Amino acid sequence: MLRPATRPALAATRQVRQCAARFLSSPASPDTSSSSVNNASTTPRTNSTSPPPNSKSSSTNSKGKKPLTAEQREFLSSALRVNQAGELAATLIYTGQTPPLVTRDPSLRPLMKHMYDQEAAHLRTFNDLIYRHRVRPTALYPLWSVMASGLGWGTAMLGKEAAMACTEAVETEIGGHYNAQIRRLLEMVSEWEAEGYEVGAEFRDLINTLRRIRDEELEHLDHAVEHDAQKAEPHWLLTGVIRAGCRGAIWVSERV
Amino acid sequence: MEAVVRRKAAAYVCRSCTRQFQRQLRRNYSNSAPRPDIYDVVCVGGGPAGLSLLTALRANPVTSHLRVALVEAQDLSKVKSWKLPPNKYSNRCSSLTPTSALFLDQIGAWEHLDQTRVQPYHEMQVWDGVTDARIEFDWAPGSAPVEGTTIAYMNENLNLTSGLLKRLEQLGGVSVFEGAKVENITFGEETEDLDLSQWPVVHISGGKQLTARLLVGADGANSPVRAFAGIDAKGWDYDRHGVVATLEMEGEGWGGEHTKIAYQRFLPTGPVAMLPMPGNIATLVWSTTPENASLLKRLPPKDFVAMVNAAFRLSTVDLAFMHTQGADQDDEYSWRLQHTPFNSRAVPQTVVGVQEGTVASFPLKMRHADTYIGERVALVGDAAHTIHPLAGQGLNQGQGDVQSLAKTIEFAVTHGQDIGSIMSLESYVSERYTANHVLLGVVDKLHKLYSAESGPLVPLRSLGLNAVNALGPLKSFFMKQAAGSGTKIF
Amino acid sequence: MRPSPTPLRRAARQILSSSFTTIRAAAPAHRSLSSITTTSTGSDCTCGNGRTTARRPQIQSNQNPQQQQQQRSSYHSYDHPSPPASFTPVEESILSAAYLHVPAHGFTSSALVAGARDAGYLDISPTILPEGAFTLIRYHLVKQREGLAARAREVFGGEGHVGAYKLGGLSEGEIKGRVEALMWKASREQGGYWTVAGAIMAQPSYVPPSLKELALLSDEILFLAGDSSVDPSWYTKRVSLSTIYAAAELFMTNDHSPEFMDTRAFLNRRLREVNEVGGVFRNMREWVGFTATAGVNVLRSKGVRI
Repeated sequence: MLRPATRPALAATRQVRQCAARFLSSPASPDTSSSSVNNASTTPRTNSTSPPPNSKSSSTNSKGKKPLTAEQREFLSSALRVNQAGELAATLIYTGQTPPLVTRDPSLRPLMKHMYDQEAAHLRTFNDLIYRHRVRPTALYPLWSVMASGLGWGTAMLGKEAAMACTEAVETEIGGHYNAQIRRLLEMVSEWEAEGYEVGAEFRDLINTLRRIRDEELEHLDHAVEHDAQKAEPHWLLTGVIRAGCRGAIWVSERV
Repeated sequence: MEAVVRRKAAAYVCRSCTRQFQRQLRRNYSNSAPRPDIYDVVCVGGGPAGLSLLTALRANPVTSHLRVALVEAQDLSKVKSWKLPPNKYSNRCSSLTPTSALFLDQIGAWEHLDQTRVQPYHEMQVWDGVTDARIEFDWAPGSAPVEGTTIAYMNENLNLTSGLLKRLEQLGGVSVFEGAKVENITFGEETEDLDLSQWPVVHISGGKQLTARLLVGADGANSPVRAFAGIDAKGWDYDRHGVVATLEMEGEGWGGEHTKIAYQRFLPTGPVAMLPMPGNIATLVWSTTPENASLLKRLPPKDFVAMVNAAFRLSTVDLAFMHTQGADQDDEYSWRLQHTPFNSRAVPQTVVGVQEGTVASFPLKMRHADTYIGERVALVGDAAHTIHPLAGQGLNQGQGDVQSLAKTIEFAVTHGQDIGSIMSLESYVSERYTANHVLLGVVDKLHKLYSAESGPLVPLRSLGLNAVNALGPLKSFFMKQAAGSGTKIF
Repeated sequence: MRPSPTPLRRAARQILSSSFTTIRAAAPAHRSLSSITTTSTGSDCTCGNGRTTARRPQIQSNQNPQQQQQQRSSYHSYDHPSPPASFTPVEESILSAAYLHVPAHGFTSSALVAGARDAGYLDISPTILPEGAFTLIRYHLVKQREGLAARAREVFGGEGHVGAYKLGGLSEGEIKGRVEALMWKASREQGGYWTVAGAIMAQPSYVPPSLKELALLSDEILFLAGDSSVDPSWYTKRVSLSTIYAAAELFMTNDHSPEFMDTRAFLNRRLREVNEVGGVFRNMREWVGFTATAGVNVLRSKGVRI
């Protein structure tokens, strides 16, 4: 019998999964029903100094690739910056959680190792992307390191359920966050295609990478729920605080 | 077969009994996995630590009934039959503290070491290469402790492992799997009679699988057992290489054959130590930069000998210059020696030759595992910790671990506990972890302290060294701690 | 991110402003031009040779500082590259023509006037450049920085994508060597009038854009050298590189050795010092991290359940 407090959490989980399912099934179609971004705002504002695109050409795919606008570049750099900070925090949370959890319940070792390995691979992916695309990493790197380690260790000390609830909260926020990024990227790509530009492998690969990582994060969410995340006392307080913290950290990392 | 049984028995035996009988038959005639080969202790690694542990377990009547196995990748028969002529010594030597020697004696291995190749030394001279501040570890007449004046025993590693193997053979009862590489370590399976899902199973080359109640990792710095247990080892690399060689000296040492002296000089690139062996042989351990190490290995014997002599006599500036020369260090050394004043009795005797093929190097690092135990896993020796060789404590730490683990296993057996459970193993890690950590830290600080060539640290450390040299009680405290016979602080 | 002006720069300002008083006398001329609002269309201009066939430049606003900020920390795309948008087309044509006159006139407004004439604009046209001679200096810096990639390719041997190395593909020593080579290349290409340019850059109103250009240059140098750090050392490396570069340029103004050998030695010494200090900090951080986890491990070994 589920307690009342768990229903909103389950509803949130369900909402995230529905979003994921939509994008899993239709790779290139923009989802207008859930899009909260006004299409007009994403119309590319050509920089006044860049030569205007040659719109006189009649053949559809020979326009080449459209240069990115400053706003798009800003979005991409802040997205990669936040993602790297997020994966760093995730690896440190798992590093902090594993020793106390595993001493209490050795059967959790394979699960924790599996989740940690996946997060470490995500971090390597984003480190590589940040380096290649010359994006500035977050300036609060040491602060996020300390806070994430503390969060992982603290929730593990509170118990297995609390640790799983922390994972659930973090992965829910992260899943929604990746969805928003993928949505924005798909909009960019569909606009380019509508205007007759080519879309390079760089963007297709980026979207696929983000999708794969988002799916793995949601898989962690499932594991956490399976392992009694909902049974944590008080679930609403833990998940509420952690989700708010995540949102704040995301907001700050996008800018600093 | 089953149909026949069913028809014939059906008239006289009830259905459920028939079913049970069929199940038993099926089990006897089935070709499912063979019964797992279960050992009480499986020790992976046949180095000094692993062999000492098995010897200790077999020699102790309380634990001698345990079923033990040894897994070693190399061929042990070569080690057992190892024999070198009296004037040739292996280049991998270690200093055994009196505590380690006492432990080896207690388990009955000491007498199997070739005693003619073991060299006790009674005095130690340590000095700063930059300022010549010196500390002399020797026992003033009358102040010698009851245990004797021996500071430590210099011994070849092969002598030790060979002696341990001989003792093990004498004791018997160990299943030795030599030449067997560990291919994988997994958890066992859960069957109807046994739940081995928490028990480690070692898969060795040749297809054999050993199930262990307690898996001991004595398999060196890159331990697969430690990786299996998910234990991380943290630390750093020193960016230094240890160059070893066997040297021939001009005589038996300034103290003669009954008072052998060990020498160590702290150079900015790292300490250089000369440790006495029987006769006029000495062994060299020189921690230096990788570039210097590769130069030393390339040099012809004449120039190598000149570099070693220079390391103990010339100034650090001269020595640094000689490291930049590609050849002819011999002439350079003889010329510079004329202009360098030094006290010949304060430094080792002149090296006249180096034994062929003994100049080698290995990288130096410091590592300490997060813990020494896991569920049915214990780590001893280099698998648990790696230390800088400047204090000669690495092997002795391993022997101390083995002594403690053997005591822990003995306690568990006498109290009817499961020797592999964490509850039984906790006393081992509790006894050894802090002591090892402190020793690692002290040796690391010494290395960092003596790496400075200039600056405020140099006069301060010289002052400190001279002060400790002058304060008798403090000096004998440090000596006893290093020998392992001092009061236990941690 | 703006590295703060070092004491060196303050001293530079004083030294250079006192030794180049004649140049300063010319400076007010272009500053007063720059104070004219950019809305003038040149119709009330009475100077020049009255070329009625001269074009009237369209006034377009220069890039605002926010867009420049985005440029620095922004995403660099390989498939969809944005053209470097530092100057409008009109500015570009005037400045590129003026650049050719720098050897004769230096970084002054007379070079700008000559350039405007060559490009077919009125002589008064440089007034659309509010910062006057500083815009020419900035043009020079931007062109040097953008050309660094091509020059790096010839120095390091062409890889397909200069700077696009795998993470960890180059060793520490190799990266340090490349940084030194790139810094030397960047600083050597300045030319004879650079002392004057330095004086102009050091004027208070031009210090922020000069520092921005310096930061962009250090980012470019580190990327081309293959430095792949994506942790806090990203910031410390750029700050230290900017400081060393500025110091080396200052040193160069007074260097009379052949081929600026002394400056190169100065550069090497500063880089070595920074590496040593960096090494000390790295060891300390390593030790603190190790001791903290070791403390927790010791407590766990004693049975404390943490």
